[in-house]
Amino acid sequence: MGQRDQRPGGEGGRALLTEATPRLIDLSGAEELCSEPAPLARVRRAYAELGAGQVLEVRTPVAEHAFAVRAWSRKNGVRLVGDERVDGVQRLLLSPG
Amino acid sequence: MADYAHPEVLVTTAWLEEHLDDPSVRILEVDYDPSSAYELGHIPGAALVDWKRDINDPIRRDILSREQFQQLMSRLGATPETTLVLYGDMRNWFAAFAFWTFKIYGHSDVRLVNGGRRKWIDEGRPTTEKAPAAQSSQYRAAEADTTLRSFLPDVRQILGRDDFSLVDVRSPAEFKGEIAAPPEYATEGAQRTGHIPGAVNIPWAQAIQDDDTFKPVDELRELYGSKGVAADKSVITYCRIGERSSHTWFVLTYLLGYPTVSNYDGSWSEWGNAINVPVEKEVALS
Repeated sequence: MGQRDQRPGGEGGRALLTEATPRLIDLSGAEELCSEPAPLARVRRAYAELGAGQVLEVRTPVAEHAFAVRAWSRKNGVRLVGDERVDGVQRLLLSPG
Repeated sequence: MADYAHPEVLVTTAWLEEHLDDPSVRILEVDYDPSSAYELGHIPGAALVDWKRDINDPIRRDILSREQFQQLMSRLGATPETTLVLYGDMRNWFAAFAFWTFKIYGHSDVRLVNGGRRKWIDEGRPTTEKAPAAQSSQYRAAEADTTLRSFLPDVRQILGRDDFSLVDVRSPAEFKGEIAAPPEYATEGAQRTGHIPGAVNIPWAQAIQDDDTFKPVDELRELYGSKGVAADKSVITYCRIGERSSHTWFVLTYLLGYPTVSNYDGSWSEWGNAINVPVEKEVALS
């Protein structure tokens, strides 16, 4: 399978602003059960585990999560290479600066 | 909001935006993790209350003492007449916990932002990263109102009594004993899973709507009443460390007007580790 097939949504997935293979983290329902780390903690951890050239895609329907991801990226030199809302879900693409 | 028993303890996001510069109002963001919330942007004029540092005793497992509460209020420039408006991260859980502690020490006018940080940001209202400068004050607090809080011996004493209701506000998986605390919450673990015998499970989030505002009073009355949690009983709420249960304590006390509600903040992280206390669970013992 080629790299493009591994993108969330597969070949039919909506093209975002990068051609790299994103690692996906979905924050839908985060906090609901208090059984997972806080949403941004999950993003930080996933970002820290990115391999060379990898991109992290964060999906969330919650504006508060997207707000935190944008602000954290800005303060920490993380490049936000994609940021769009599709069908009620915000999709943010993070790339190592 | 007018139909709630005590609607004066709730403010809307619109009301708050109109009172950002009101000198009688002190806005406080109460966070479990300020680095994921307040430090990234907050309501203009809001001061940070760090739940771990400011609301808890740093040595003992306890809420802040009366002296520590006075120091906190003095540092924030509050007087006993100040209107304290609370909101915070994690769906207002820790703001509700702070509300509960502030009531224990008798602060008269404490309010919660209905919908909290999430609704404020969702509505695109202004934020800032600038922390406000506060003129310190000399705050004198009342003696603690111990009726708002339950300890483990209090809970043991009421087991099996039909004039009390125990409300477990954790997730169904926690209540059934399928999970305890996840590894990411290292200080909230328990040696046993399950729930306190006789407790009913009403997860905290059932009290709120999609935008994090509280459900209408009729729906709340049905939610709790249908599980036998009624105003003619004394109610004790609990969760894992007492923060989600303070949210439900708030609902039962101020929105439904139940006369006798207390929060067992030792909660499952105490009960599930204690020796010689009974536990119920709905999964097979391994």
